[in-house]
Amino acid sequence: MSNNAAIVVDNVFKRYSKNTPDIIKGVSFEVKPGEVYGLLGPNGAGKTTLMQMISTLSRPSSGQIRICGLDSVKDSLEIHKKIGFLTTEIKLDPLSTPDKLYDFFASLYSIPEQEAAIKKETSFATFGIGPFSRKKIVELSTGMKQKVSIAISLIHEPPVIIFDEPTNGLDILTSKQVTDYLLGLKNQGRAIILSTHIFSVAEELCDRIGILVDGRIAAEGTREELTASQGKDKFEDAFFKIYQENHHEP
Amino acid sequence: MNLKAIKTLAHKAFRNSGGLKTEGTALTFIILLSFAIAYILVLVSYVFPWRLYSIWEDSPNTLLVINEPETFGNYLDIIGLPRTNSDHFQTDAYYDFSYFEELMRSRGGIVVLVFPKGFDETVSEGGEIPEILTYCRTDYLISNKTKDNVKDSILKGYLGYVQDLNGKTVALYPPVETATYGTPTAPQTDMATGLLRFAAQSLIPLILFVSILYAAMNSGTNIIAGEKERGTFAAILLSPVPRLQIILGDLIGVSMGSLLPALIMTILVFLIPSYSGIAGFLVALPLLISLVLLIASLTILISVLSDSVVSAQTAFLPLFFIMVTICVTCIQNAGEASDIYYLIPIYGHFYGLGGIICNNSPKAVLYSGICIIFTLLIVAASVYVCVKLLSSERYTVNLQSGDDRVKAPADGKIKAKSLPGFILNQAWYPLVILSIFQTLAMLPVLVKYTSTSAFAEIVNSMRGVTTFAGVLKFSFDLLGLFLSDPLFIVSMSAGYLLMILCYLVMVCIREKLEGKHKIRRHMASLGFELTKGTAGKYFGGVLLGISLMSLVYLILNVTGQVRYEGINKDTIGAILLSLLMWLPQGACEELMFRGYMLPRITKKTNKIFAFFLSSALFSLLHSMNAGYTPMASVNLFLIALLFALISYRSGSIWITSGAHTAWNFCQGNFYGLQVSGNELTTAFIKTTYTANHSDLITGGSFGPEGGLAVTLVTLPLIVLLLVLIKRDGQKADRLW
Repeated sequence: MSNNAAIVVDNVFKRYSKNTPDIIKGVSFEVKPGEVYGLLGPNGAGKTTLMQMISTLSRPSSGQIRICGLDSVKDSLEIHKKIGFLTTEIKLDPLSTPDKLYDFFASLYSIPEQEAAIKKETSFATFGIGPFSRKKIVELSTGMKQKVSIAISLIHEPPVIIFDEPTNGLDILTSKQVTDYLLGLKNQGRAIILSTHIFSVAEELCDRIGILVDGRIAAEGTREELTASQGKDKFEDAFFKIYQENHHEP
Repeated sequence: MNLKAIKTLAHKAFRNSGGLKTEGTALTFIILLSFAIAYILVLVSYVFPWRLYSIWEDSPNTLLVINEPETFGNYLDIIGLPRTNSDHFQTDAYYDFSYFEELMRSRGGIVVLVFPKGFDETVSEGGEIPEILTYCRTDYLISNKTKDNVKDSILKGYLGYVQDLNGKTVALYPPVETATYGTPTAPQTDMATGLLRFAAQSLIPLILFVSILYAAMNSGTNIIAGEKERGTFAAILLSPVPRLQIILGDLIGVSMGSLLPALIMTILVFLIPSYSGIAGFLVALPLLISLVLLIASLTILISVLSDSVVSAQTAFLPLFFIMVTICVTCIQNAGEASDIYYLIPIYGHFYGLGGIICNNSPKAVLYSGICIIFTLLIVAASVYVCVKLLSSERYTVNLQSGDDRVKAPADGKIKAKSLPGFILNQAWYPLVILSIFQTLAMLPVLVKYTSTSAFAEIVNSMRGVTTFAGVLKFSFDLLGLFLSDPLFIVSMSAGYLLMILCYLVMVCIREKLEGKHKIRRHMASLGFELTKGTAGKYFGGVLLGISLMSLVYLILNVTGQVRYEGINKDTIGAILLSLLMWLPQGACEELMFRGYMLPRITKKTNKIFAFFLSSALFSLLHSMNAGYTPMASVNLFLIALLFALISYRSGSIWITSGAHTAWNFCQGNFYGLQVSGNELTTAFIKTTYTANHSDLITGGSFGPEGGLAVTLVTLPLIVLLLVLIKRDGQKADRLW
């Protein structure tokens, strides 16, 4: 285990109650600064559960997660300053406006007002939110909502970014904008972990991919390594082979 | 501590409540309207006290004349002034004011003129005009006016008339001695003061409570629970703000949102000149703030425990009803509560606010300080629990993985906005229907009684009543009088039958059915399912009711609470007649709460909530009855719950209709006890409370339903039914 890893997941188990089976069964991996790690898996594999634990919203039943050297259970408040969690499950108040929401979260993250105003302008300009900044969230398109979400989640410029299904429900144009932005963040040296069930996203963005099947990492490596290890030409075929070998009907 | 974050969160919670821009629902409108009416009434009573008084007064010249000379009678006839009574009162005791007071009270007089005997003869013989005494009541505002009227116009005019009659000048103006003794039993308050005190001790605190509860519910369920439902809460949890600060911010925001309307009302109230003014307001303010904090913290606790606005509002409703029930019990004891109540939160707030507004109770100020300390301790405990709960996953994220989440309710549960409206409707139906038909049923007997002397006496005795509890007691005295009249029993019986019909018509109109036997199926949906076993069920219910009440009587008798005093044989006819009323009465109340309300709330929400709500409403409906106590509210709730469980298990309300009728009949007409505060005059068995009976066991003036004996009988049965239902499930499910 290297000390400079931004995210360390160490033998993590998770079950919701005593009588239910484990959802996550002993997952371990690391993400370094400047690296994009992708969790690829079918629905129900446990991606969201894992992402929630990394973001401290829920706790591992056993095992440990460390973010920038901080324990996810004991130091959760400190970790909040270092992570940005983006998920379609966390929504924006439909009756508020991007403008007000940005100010609201700037205040929660104790960002001085003047600094926040400058940041807001830059960030809104990057995503083209400017013209919509005073419209109600409920009136915005899905793509615009996602962009507002990203702008707000990264308000404190966190070194670690957790991104659950980043391009879910977005059109091609917005998708491209989001992936480009993520690559920009990666180049700034941030550690990014994203979960997806879309091959193209995993292939284009991720430096390393972990394939999650039934709550276990069935295989891990770069796209090329994974494809080669299964003796296939296409990454897609390699994924299906790994899935079939590791999936057991309950 | 990040004060800026707290401020931001508070602002968000406050904005969530809409500040003053709360949604204009029907409830908001009703609350505002009742406040406006109450406020105007109070102001009007201060500015024009005589106007309110004159409503109660049949004639301002209610004059009683003692030893009336013939010439005075003639004079009154000439000027056309009516006297209260044409009887001639004669007495030698000119100074016996207690006799005159008694006369004034029994005859409804305000001024008594006492002439010496042989007045006409003395005057015609040319002697000096002897003294004429004037006695006057002081307990009415109007009495001074009447006194002046008698002295300045009537007596002056009469003396002129006497001079003309005798054709000679007599002493110009007679010495008029005025004795202003009041009736010793009447309190030294006038109608306006009484009304103001009633408003201060009952109406104003009640309206404040309801407005705070309503505003707190609006914003408190919308934050946290609403944020969880909308998926916006996790973003706040992910910020580096500690849980304690999140709760504190929300607490401040919800409190401000709830305090604002209450504060405006309170300022207006203290502007009323008779109340304690700015000093009182400053004393009341901490009490008000602590109340708001208490309600806000409990609302937030509910919000933390809930996953959606609907579930939070559902959980909040019992709290709402409990608070309103406490308010009602406070109103019944306003001004007479023992000191300990001033220390208990909620009770202390209600009594304390009333006392401070009236400025008549220095202890209210002292005790309110202790009450505030207790309240703040509860608030702190509640905040602590909230913070602990927010540290556990169960109450923070409900994000689980995509597939797990699909278990969202699929059985068409209702949407957030319509639930409070639906429940309000359910609560209104019985109230509206009962008040319309019971009033109608009272009309014939009221018309009959207005012409009798007994009625005049009752109305007379009502003049001294200035407290709410007094008005209640008065109306139940009247009801007791009516209850012995066959006409009343027949018209009430017709009224209950009409109510049942009303429900049937309502169901037929609102719940459309296809196919045959519509009426019969509508009846079944109201719990009156017609099958072969119907008669058996009904009589089984009657037996159940008789045995339950006999058990209660036995307990009361064995523990030495009541004494058996013999049998009234000659009342059997009247007793049997009263069955005519109890038969539809039992069926009607069962129809309202168990037949109509219970299955319909179950359909919209769930069984447990439906049992709770219908029983709580049943209990609350009886809260205006005389002698209602917290114990009575618990017992009525238990009885309602017992009947609800029976009707749930049997699938109809035949058993409970029989049991309800038999319970009331046995209680009142057979064993001679009070039925929910109503005293029945015709009972088969004469029963009295023993000298050392305890109100806690017997229920005092509310009857056994307000005492422990009933708790002892109902509780084991409820447990038994719960066990049976848990074991077998329900047997018949047509009603559900």
